[in-house]
Formats: sequence, structure tokens, C-alpha cells
Amino acid sequence: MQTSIPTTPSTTTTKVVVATTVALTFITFWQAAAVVLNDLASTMFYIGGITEQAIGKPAPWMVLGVMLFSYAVRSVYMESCGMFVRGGVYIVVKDSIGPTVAKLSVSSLVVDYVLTGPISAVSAGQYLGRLLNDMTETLHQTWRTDPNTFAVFFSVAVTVYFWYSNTKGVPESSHKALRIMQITTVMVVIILIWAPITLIMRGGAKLPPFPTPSNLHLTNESLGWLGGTYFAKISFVVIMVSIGHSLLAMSGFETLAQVYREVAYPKLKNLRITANIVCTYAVVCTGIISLLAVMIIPDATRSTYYDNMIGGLVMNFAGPEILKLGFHVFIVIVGVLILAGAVNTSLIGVNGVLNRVAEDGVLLDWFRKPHKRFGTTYRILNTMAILQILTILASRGDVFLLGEAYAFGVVWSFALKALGVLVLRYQRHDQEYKMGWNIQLAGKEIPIGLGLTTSVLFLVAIANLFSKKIATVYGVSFTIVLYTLFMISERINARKKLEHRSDLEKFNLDHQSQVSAATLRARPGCVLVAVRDYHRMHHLQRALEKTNLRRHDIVVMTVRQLSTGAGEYELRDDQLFAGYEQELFSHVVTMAEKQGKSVELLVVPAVDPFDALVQTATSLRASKLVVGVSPRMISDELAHRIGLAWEQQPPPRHPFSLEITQTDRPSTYVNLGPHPPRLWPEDVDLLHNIWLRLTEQEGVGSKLHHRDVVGVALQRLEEELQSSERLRILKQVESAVHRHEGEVEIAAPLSSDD
Amino acid sequence: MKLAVRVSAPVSAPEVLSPELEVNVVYTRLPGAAETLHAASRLARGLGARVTVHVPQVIPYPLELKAPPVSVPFAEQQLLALAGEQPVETNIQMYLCRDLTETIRRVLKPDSVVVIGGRKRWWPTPEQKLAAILRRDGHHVILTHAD
Repeated sequence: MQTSIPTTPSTTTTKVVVATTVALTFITFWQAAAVVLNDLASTMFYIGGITEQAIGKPAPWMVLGVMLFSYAVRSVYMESCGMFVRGGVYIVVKDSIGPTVAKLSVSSLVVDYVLTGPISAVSAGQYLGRLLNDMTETLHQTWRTDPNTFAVFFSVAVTVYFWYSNTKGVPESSHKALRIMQITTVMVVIILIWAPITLIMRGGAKLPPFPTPSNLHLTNESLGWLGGTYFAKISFVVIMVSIGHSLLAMSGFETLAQVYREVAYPKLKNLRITANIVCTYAVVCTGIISLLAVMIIPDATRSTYYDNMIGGLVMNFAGPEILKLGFHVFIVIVGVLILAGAVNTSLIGVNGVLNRVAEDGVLLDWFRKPHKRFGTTYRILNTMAILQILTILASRGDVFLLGEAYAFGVVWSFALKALGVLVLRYQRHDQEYKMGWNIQLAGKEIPIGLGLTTSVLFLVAIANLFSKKIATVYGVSFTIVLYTLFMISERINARKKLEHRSDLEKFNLDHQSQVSAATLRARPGCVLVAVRDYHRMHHLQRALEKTNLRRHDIVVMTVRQLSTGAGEYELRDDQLFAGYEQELFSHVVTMAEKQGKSVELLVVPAVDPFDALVQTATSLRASKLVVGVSPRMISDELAHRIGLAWEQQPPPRHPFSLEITQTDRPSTYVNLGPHPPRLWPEDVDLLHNIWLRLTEQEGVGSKLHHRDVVGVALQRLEEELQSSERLRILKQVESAVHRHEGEVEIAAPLSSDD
Repeated sequence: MKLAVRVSAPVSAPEVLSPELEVNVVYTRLPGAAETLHAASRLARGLGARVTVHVPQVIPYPLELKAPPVSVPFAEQQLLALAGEQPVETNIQMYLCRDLTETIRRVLKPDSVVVIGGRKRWWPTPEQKLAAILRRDGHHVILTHAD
């Protein structure tokens, strides 16, 4: 597993070892929410203007409605994440509907990514260009820039910059997302304070008209091919078309599925909190701010701010011009940060998605050829950057145009994902979370909530197909090209018949001359779980669920059995860690990921597995050794063998609890090492009665304790075992054993979380 | 690309303790990182120690941890070439991670000698911040400046 290449420099012979390891860490729901919001919240900078141009003044209500609908989409994602820890739209659709529709869903996702870059960069350029004009106007200068032309140059520059940095593979800070969201939150809070003050100073607020069919003024452009037809008069169709123009406010939800793998324990609960933070933030930022913009910017001038709605909102606040200009500068800085970040994310995201499908043989390896100097997949990056730049040039800096095209990828990837999750309701029954509103009808579950959400998404997608000419032409042509490319690639790759299992993790062997808590990065008192059969890992599941990582680390070990004498020779890696161990630990990693808990992995080569378990528990100073019940050995025998191995250890022996877990009954605990015994109930009664008699009737007095009674009894037993009474005593002991045969002693563990 | 699995020595075999001193280098892709490694190697040779180079590669969230933007074999080859130039035994550990600081803190053994290369600036640089955190953790940190 390690690459070990000896090199010979001029002066001396040195040994060089290079090893690569995945350092998996789990993140909090705040960090996860920040990563998702970096994508999702960027839409607040352009959605208000795009929607109002398409459907008129009720636009903010529609945006707010879409943001509230995002709670339903959140549930779809949560249900899918509960089934697929690493599942984006491609995995879910492939598993549920099949590879053909999965390729279509990936194509629409790639359309989404390709357009995220241009719309974000052009929007940032619009904000910056218009700010420059505002500043020169305030300074009484005559210089002005055409915002559209400026936006095109700016967007191309930003795209080239990120293309180059991705080609070089420049690492980015993982804290950046959180920082950007902190700054964005400051901006949002100021707006939410300043806007009501403005409304109060103006003597009240007038809400925009509600989005009833009579208030929705869809132009021929917004109706597309439906314009002038009978359908344009049907209220339901008008509403669906209007939602279609607002739905791109939800763009970015796919990131939720991407961060799920790294969300900490309790995973699903934390995902729910993450998703709730994201949805609430989006409702406030995107929904409420769009509403405030229409309420504060006068109707007469609002159309001039369609491309920088938040900038227009600030410039129409009550207060001194210089203060407004200062805040406008701050907004543009925040906008450029978040929108430029979205350009970068789009390039990274599309690279990730295409690399992922390439692993399945759906994309030619030609695209994945690494750059000679930087080692990055530059051909994918080049293709995407060229497509993005062409899109920017074709749009001529028009955000509305880009928004229209963008909606295609967003709505179809959502619709196909929801359909995939709905189909899985009938194919699988391991959903850890189910979207609400399910009813039982004739013994069958009818998923009303999921069905309704999927239906709405599909209706909006179909409405978009007919109402958004640009999106349909752009999206359909792009999807056809990409789909054809996937099909051709798959056929070529199928001929190569690559036989490798990509579902198994790869492991890096780190040989330790001595296993200890320090070398393993497991604190003393850790929980040691022994695994051998990946079909019987119930005990690991229980240990993962029960162990509080703040108090105890988890070490998962397997014993690689050796023949006697094999330990005398140096063993090769494949002798220590074969395909079976790889498969076993891949299952362990999957279970740990699903729980959101880190585990340390350990292989112990040994002749006697029981010796290995006890010695490892001793070396790590473990508080508990957890084993599953063996198919070849009853739990009592298993405990006995481990106990014997413990007795053979040189003193001082490290005490720990042995937990034997079975699927259908409570765990059995055996405390290894000296520990107070758990007496049978009748013995406790007997002890208490003797103590009462001695203290009250025999006049020993109140200073006598129960332990003194036990002490005397044990001394007498020892004496009698040395006397002629020995055989009688042994018979008595035997009958005591038989009396309690079949009863399970459930001891309290020495130290555990349960 | 790979997850770490510790492999203990066979439990029946006699224990072999390695008293060898280790100099840890946190290798960034900053200009002058190679010079930092050379300096650490010279220090290690003087002390009779070996060098462990920690190379954290931060992967952005849209990508899976095992699918870094820079191909792993490519990065390993580059690092091998660099390590081959060193006059002492060099162990290079590359980590595909989300958080550089947390990863370095996790992988260092207690009381480690750590060399970090950085740029000299009048504002606190990420390398200076990392050095301060590692010092607080009880490590012995040497911060070198390429310029």
C-alpha cells in the first residue's frame, strides 16, 4: 500500500517512503451550513431582478414561496442522504431508475454547473460596474462605464483566474466558506435593520401585489412558446410558469448531499439542523430581501436596478449619501466574494462530477489525463472554462438571459432527484428518514408529501420546457451533446473491460513496532472493537451508536492469524492485509461514516487471537473490549477463552470490561481483573440476614459491615478447602453453578457510555 | 485516496523500540518549501535523526476526499523526487484533508520537533498561526522564512 523507493544520492544511501492517507474529519452543522449557503445564498444577488423582469411586481412573493418550498426539497435530500452517505443526484438516479436517466440527470447537473459560473460572475460584474458609476456620480465625475460590457470583461477575467488556479491545483482554505458567510450575515443584518427604519421614516410600507393570476403579468418573452396559446390563459399554467421563473433561487441544494459524508454524529439529526439553517437563512436572505427591495425602490426607477437589486435597495435607503455609498461598497465586496466563490465552486463541482462519472466508465479517460506540470485534470477544466467564457460572451452581460438558461439545469436535476427518491420508496425499505405526509392504504404506504413535491418539480420543469426558449434550446442541446459523449465513452470503456472494484476503500499500512494509545491516537480508556466477519458487525454498530467520542475513542481491530513461527519472519504487506481485510475495513469505514464517528483501524498479526485481543486492549489501556458472538463458540466459552488469555498476562494486568454483543439479546458484560462480584439476589438476602443476626442478636454491634461478613466467610472457605471438608465444599460449589445455569449475568461495565 | 490502518508487530515477536529522533516538516506548496525541507534535513543529519515530511493537501468540499484535484500518483512522484535529494532517511506522509491545521495537529506525536516554512510578512501569516497553535500544543516549532 505504501510506495517505497530507495534512492541513491551522491553522498549516502537514504531510504524514502511516500504514503498518502485520507484524513477524514467530521464537521459541525454550522460549517456544513456555511458550505451549502456559499452556493445557495449567492442567488440573492440576482434572483429578485430576474424574477421581476419575468413575472412583474408580485415576484418577491414567488421567490419567498420558492424559498418556503425549499423545506420540502430539503426533506427529499434528507431522505436520499439517509440511504446514500455519498449520494449525489447521479448515484440516487442510477440506483433507482437506471443508468440512462442517471446520465440525463448528470447532464442537467453539468448544465447547472456550467451556468452557475457565468451568472455569478456576470452578476458580480454588474454590481461592480454600477458601483463605479455610482461613485463617479457622487464625485461629480463624468466617466461612466457600460455595466454590461464591464460585466463581460470582469466575468471573463474572473473565469480565467479561477480556471488557472484550478489548473494549478491551488488549495483553498476550508474556513473560507464560514468567513464569507459571517461577512454575508453582517450585511444581511444591517439590511434587515436599515430597511425597516427607512420604511418607518417614509411613513409606512406598501406590500407588493400578491401573486394571483390576475396580478402576474407575464410577457410574451416570459411565456415563450406558450405565448398567445390557450395554455397562457389557464391560471394553473401561469402559476407554474411563474414558479419556473423563480425556482433558480434554490440552486445550490446539491451541495447538501456532498457535505453529508462529513457531517458529524448524530449524522441525520445534524443534517436536519444544517438543512433547516440553510432553508431559514435562504428565506430571510433571498426571500425577505427581495420583498424589501420592491417595497423600498420606487417603481419608476426599479427597472434600472434589475441587475443589482441589493445595490439599488441600499442606494434607496434613508440616510446620508456617503453612508449609503459606503454600505454599497461593502455590499459589492460581499457580492464579489460570494459570487466569485460560486464561479470557483462551479469549476470544482463540474470537475468532481465528471471525474465521478468517469470512475464508472461513463467518460473517456482522455478527459482525466493529468496536467504535465500540475497533475490536475486540465482537459475537463479547459472544456468547462471555454464553455463558460462562450456563455458569458453570448450573454453580453445580460443577467436575465443567463438566469433564463440557468433554470433548465436547476429544475431538471431537482425533478430527477425527487423522482429517484420516490422510486426508492418502493424499491428499498432502509430509509433512515422519510419525508412526511405518508398514509397507509390497504397495507401499502402512499408517500403523499414526496409525491406532491416530485409532481410540483416535474410540472415546473415541463412548464419551463415550453416557456423558457433559451433554457430549452441551450439545455436540451447541451444535454444531447453530453449524453452522446457519455454513451460513446461508455461503449469504448466497456470494450476495455476494466475489472476493478471501485467500491472498496484503499488503505495505507502504517507499521508500528509497538501499539500504544499514543501511536494510535486513541486516548487511554478507549473502546476496542474486534471484527472479523463483515456479515456480523452488529457489535460494531452498537459500539458506534453507544460510544460518546468526547469520552472514549474507538479502535477497530482485526486479528490476522499467523501459523506458529510466522511471527519470527518479516511479513509482506499482502500477508498482513489481504483483499479480505480491505473489504472488512471498507465495511467498517462505511458504518463509521454513516454514524459520523471517527474510528482508528488496527491489524494485529498473531498466532492466538485471544492473546492478541487481550494484549492489544492492555497496550491501548482500553476500558472495554467489544466482540460479537461467534458462530463457532457460545458466548460463555468466548468469555472464558478471553479470560484465560487475560490471566496469562504478566502482572500487573490491566483491568477492562468484555462486552459480548448478540443481535437478539442484551449485551453480556464480563469484567476482567479483580472487581467486586455481582451477587445473586438470594445471596444478597442471605448476607443481609446474617449481618442482621450478628449485629442485633449476637451483639457484635453496629460497627460490623456486610463486607466483614463476606471476608470472614471467604476465610472460612479457604480454610475448609485445605481440610477434610474439601470434597463436600467442591460439591456445594458445583451445585451452586448448576443452580444458576442458563441465567445471564449482566454485569455493569467498568467504564462505558451505556 | 487511502485511509490509514495501523499494523502492529506480531504480538508474539520481541518488541523493537526505536529511539530515533524525528524532525517533522510541514510541507506547503509555498515558494521556498523545498529550501525548508533541505534545512530540516541538514538539521536532522546533524542530530542523527530522520525526517518526516507532512504534506497536507486541502480538498475543497465539492470534491470527495479521495478524489483530489491534483492526481495522487503525480503528487507522490513530485515528492519522491524532492525527498530523494535529502541526505537523510525521509518519510513523506501526504494527507488528503479538509482542514490543514486540524490534520497536522492530529498526526504529530506529542513533543514533536516541527519545522514550518513560511513567508515573512508584517501581518500574521497562516504559517505563523499554525506555528503558534502547535507551540500551544506543546511541540517544539522552528519557523523558517524563505525570503
